[in-house]
Amino acid sequence: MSILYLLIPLGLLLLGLAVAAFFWAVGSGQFDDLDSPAMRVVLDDDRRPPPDSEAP
Amino acid sequence: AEAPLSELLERIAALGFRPQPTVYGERSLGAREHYRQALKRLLVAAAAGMQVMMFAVALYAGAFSGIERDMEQFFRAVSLLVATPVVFYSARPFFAGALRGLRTGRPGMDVPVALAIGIAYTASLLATLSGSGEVYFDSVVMFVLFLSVARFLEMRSRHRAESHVAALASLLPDDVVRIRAGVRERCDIDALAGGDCIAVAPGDVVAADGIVVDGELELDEAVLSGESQPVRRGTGAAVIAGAQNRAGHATVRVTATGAGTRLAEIGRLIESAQADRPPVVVLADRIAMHFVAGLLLLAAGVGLFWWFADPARALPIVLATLVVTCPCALALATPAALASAATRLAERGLLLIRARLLSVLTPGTVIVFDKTGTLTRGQPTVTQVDVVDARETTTTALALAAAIEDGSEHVLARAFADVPAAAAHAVSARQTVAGAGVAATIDGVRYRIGRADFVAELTGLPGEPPDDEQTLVYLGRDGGLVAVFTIGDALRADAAEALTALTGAGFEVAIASGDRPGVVAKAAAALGVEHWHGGLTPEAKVGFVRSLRADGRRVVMVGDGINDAPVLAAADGSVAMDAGTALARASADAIVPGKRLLTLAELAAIAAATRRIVRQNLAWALGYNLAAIPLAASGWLAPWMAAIGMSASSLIVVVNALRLRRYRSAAGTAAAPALAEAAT
Repeated sequence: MSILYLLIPLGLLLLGLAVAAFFWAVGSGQFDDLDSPAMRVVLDDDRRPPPDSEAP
Repeated sequence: AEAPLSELLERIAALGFRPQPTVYGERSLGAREHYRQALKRLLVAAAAGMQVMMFAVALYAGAFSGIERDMEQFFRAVSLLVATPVVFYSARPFFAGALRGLRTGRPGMDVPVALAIGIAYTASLLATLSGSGEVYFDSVVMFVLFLSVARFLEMRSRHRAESHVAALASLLPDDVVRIRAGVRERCDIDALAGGDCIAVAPGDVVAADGIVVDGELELDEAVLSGESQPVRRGTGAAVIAGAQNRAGHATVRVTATGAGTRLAEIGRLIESAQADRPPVVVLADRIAMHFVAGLLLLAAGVGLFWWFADPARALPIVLATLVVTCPCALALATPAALASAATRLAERGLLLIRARLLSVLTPGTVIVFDKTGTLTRGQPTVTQVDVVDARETTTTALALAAAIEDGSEHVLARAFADVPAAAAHAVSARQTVAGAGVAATIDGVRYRIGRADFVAELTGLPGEPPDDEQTLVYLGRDGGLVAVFTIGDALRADAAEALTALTGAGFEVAIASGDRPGVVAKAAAALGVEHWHGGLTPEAKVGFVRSLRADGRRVVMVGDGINDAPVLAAADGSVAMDAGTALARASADAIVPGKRLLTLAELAAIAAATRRIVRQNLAWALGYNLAAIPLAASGWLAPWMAAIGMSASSLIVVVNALRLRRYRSAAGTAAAPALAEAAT
């Protein structure tokens, strides 16, 4: 069982890397808006493009 | 006398709040940082929690079936290693809150929590270093994790309430065309000052309040009036920021910019309405304070008793008491149910943004509807065709009108857009006269469609005065009048059914509209609504809502359009039918993107179910706490049992809340679409 003395610290190291990666993701705004990308699919953007030429 | 800002900020900080000076439109930044930090803390607690649980299993197994001394020490050491960041980083807010509470003499829930965490960690640390005694790292981390999750969910829902200022600022364009000494230049909207002249072209959003100096604009002023018909603003007329220009060019002299515009004023109305904290919250805070004081006394008393009775057991028993009395299940009781309800509602076509709406929809509440765009489609349609010329039928008259109006930018022309077989006519020499109508030639015959006097010029018949109650469009040709079309805003197909369902469920229904009283009366009659008000300005609508609340009634407002935003915020709860106006979205408690009114009836049913489940959860959580306290105080519960008991009770609460996911109401019959299909 003495292999655990190696494996557990190794596991913790990997976990540390994962946590660091998560910290980076949060810092770069990946988790800022989890709702509106899902909502955007459903919402209509009914604004028509402005007319190129004006009516007389 | 003026106080320096720094002094104000210090005083506010001393009270326990975190003051943050912000620039108009930038409120959301502080909230975002707060959210990110909370997320990081939560993750550290979760990751560490998983590790500690694993190690704890090894230690417990070792306690039962034997473990080598070195191995035991090793596991304790790594548990300590993993639990330390949780206590010093993830649990920081609890310690900070506890200190603040003690300093200001108002201890909150943070005090017993911080005590439990601190005591457990210190005891475990000492035990690890000395190699003897019990360790409670798993209890500590589990404790912190659970509480962090609950607080995180709470914070998220609070932050959503504060995002409207950003939505307001996003309505206006980033840059405008300014005219200085005859030269046109692009400039930042922030650089505009009173007295500047800006150019407004078709498709632009007006950037500031002002007066038209030269030219004419056809403005969609949904910002102020919520009406679908655009208004003509000629020289000397006032225009407002946020209005969309449908047609025409003009030069506008700026009278108010940024925070001084009408738009900003509406935003401030919303803010003040939202800052209105319900008295229930204040009461709950006060009760929590007494509860905490009692809790601490109890824990101290228990500790004291056991210190004399059996000192070795004093620490674990005090820990168990503190942990068990922590109202985790109580804290999760409501949020868990609300989260499930929100998911279920989303499946039924309603996006729930703020949960307070569910607690407001009790029988007896008044539901106030806006008319245009909410009860009606918000689009002009032909409601009636009076054929004057006997040679034509309704169909042919419509076809003629549609052919002439084809491609017209005018809002009323949209009413003819759905008419089929308009292509049968070859239209030539089409000429649009702004504000009057369209003239065209079909098969060699001259036609005119539009206002009565414009058409009368061709037909030779006397023009009729415009009707105050309806919008009439005349179609005439060389020989005489062909037909008169009544353009109206048709009621939504499910409006009557939805209102009947709501009154049947015990709600009172009213209509408050900015449209002309005659039109509102007709709609109210068609829907069977007794209480209605027409011709209301946004302020008048807010006044109406406030007067209802002053009478002790609860008010839920259903509307759309930006002018409804202050009214939505002034009511106890609000629903926005239109997903397109960002401001209504931000200030409403729920949105119905599919604009389906029957969804409201389902909302009421789900709200009732949610309240039921919340009551069940609260009863269970309280019962558990009360039963567990004597067990813990008398030494029957070890700290790990207390922690498991706390987790199990929270789990039960969450599972009960999940029942809402499967809720099926009588109103929710097959016709309800999922959100994806509802985008029409």
